[in-house]
Amino acid sequence: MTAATNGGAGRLRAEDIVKTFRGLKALRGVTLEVAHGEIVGLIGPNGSGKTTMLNVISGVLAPTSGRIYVGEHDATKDKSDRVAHLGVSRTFQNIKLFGHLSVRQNIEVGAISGRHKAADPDAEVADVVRRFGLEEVAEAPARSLPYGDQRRVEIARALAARPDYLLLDEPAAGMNEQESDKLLHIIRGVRDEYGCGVLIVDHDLHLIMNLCERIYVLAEGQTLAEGTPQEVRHNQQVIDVFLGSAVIDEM
Amino acid sequence: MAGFTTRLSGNRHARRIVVGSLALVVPLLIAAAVMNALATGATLRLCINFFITIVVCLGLQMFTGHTGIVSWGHVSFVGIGAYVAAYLTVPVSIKEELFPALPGFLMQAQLGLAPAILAAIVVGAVIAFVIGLPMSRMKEIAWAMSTLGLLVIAHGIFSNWRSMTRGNEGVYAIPSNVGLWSAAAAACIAVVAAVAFKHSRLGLRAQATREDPLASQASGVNVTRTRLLVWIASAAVSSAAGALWAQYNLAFAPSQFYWTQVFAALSMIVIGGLATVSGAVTGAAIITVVYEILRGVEEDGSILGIGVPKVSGLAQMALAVITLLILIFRPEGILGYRELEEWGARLLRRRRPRPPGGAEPPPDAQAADTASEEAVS
Repeated sequence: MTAATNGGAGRLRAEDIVKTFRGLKALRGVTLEVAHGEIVGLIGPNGSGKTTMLNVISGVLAPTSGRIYVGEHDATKDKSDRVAHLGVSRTFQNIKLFGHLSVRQNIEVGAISGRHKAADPDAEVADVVRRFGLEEVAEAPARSLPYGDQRRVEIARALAARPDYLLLDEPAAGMNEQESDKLLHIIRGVRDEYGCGVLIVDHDLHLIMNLCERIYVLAEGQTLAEGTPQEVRHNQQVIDVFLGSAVIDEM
Repeated sequence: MAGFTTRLSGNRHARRIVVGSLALVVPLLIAAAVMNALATGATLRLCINFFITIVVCLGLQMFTGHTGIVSWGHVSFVGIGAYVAAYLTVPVSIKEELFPALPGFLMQAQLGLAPAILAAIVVGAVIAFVIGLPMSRMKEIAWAMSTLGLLVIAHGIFSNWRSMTRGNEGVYAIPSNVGLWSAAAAACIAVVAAVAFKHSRLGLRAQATREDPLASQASGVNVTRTRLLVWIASAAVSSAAGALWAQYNLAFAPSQFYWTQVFAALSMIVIGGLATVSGAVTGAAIITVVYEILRGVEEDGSILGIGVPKVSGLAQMALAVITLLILIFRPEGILGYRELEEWGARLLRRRRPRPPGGAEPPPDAQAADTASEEAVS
């Protein structure tokens, strides 16, 4: 870990983020970093501030204090469309697709609105559709797809912008073990093929432990622990917060 | 056109634009040819008014259909277009009497149909840009409310700036520049423009903001700028409609750009289906016919030649009832989210008998299709 006070190339860095909602401190000074090509997990009990952190990094919410750097660029004050143009794409906890638009159109919005504004968006879209195995449903309205497929479309839309960093908010929510395994392979494939850094928030500890190279644990708006899955798993504070052995055994 | 649209959004879209345009332009031209051969008097007038109504509806649909924000104000742009057309086409000698405050270069102008429409487009776009700058920063509901303000303010100006508008006495002496074919041509151009717009990058981004503003912004769409651009483009179409209408109607008053017209245009696109170009055209067709039949009842006490009791206000009431029924039972409008050609393709696919083994559509696509049907109905 570097203690640098700004981002630096090839790195997404949120520094000492504080977020207050009408006096309620959701985040009390959280710092995290995602390097290019790295898969990083963000876990913690309900209400620990994981989703708030993702919203702040992606520009959906403005931090009360703290700084966000995308590479060398200070993105602290940027709104989410600017952040997307800087190469940070995201998905949402409660899937947010463009329901009446076709799967292809959903992905196309990503391709034509990201920073690259692909010279040949059709080819770009076709490529993403193929990678995600969505050919057969490409013309169907996104809202008509089964839940798991909608998750895939949302990730595909985010990737069509060719981001440097991909933020995934509970991508495995509502998935069974089989689907969650499939998702694990998709995310790993995304990192390998696109080379982007991935920051993933999820409750599925099995997924997080198997997928992530580094994990941050949040509790009550603060970083409780940080390290490799091995380190986090054996951290006594983490074990206490996750209330005993049952969950840890699962990990 | 094809080159332009290709640059806008690629080849696949160019094909969609051509097919989508033809699906509407061909029936419209056939209707025009039939009417040209058969219709006279009132029927011919109805037909010309229908083509102009299509342009009015498409201007409104371009904004409300793509952004999901209801606009009460597009009728005001129809009015602006009508006044611009009057300034540019009324004979100079009469103009001095009608609009004493008109600046010199306008006082001397005497233009034909197309230049007057182009001028209306430019003026409408500039005004839309200026008032759109603050509007585009508003949330959806606030924007809708502000269009209501626009309607009322514009009507106030039309009614009271007497030296420029003659107030409620209205404008007359506009030369008759529009006939069946020019109205049909204008409707067809508007259809092609609307279809091309829907498939343009701007159109797609606007639809994304309609479906989910937050997600579209996180995908890199500048929601404020997208809505502003759509507002300007749609206001330009509405202004063109006004300039066209003025040169057919020849005289008008401020009351013709107010509640009745707002209600009629909104009903048409809601009934046909807000999200589609075909929906606007279909809604315009249905309501034009229904209106005409019921007006016969109101005025002559006859329906299709059969005598019935006269009921005044019947057409308005019927329009309200139809709109309510649609909103209750099919809120996405008759056509929903599919254009005419998409419905056509769907019907053909269903009719075609399935070959034994093999060439069936993949199960996923079928499932998705059924699911989408459920989601829509």
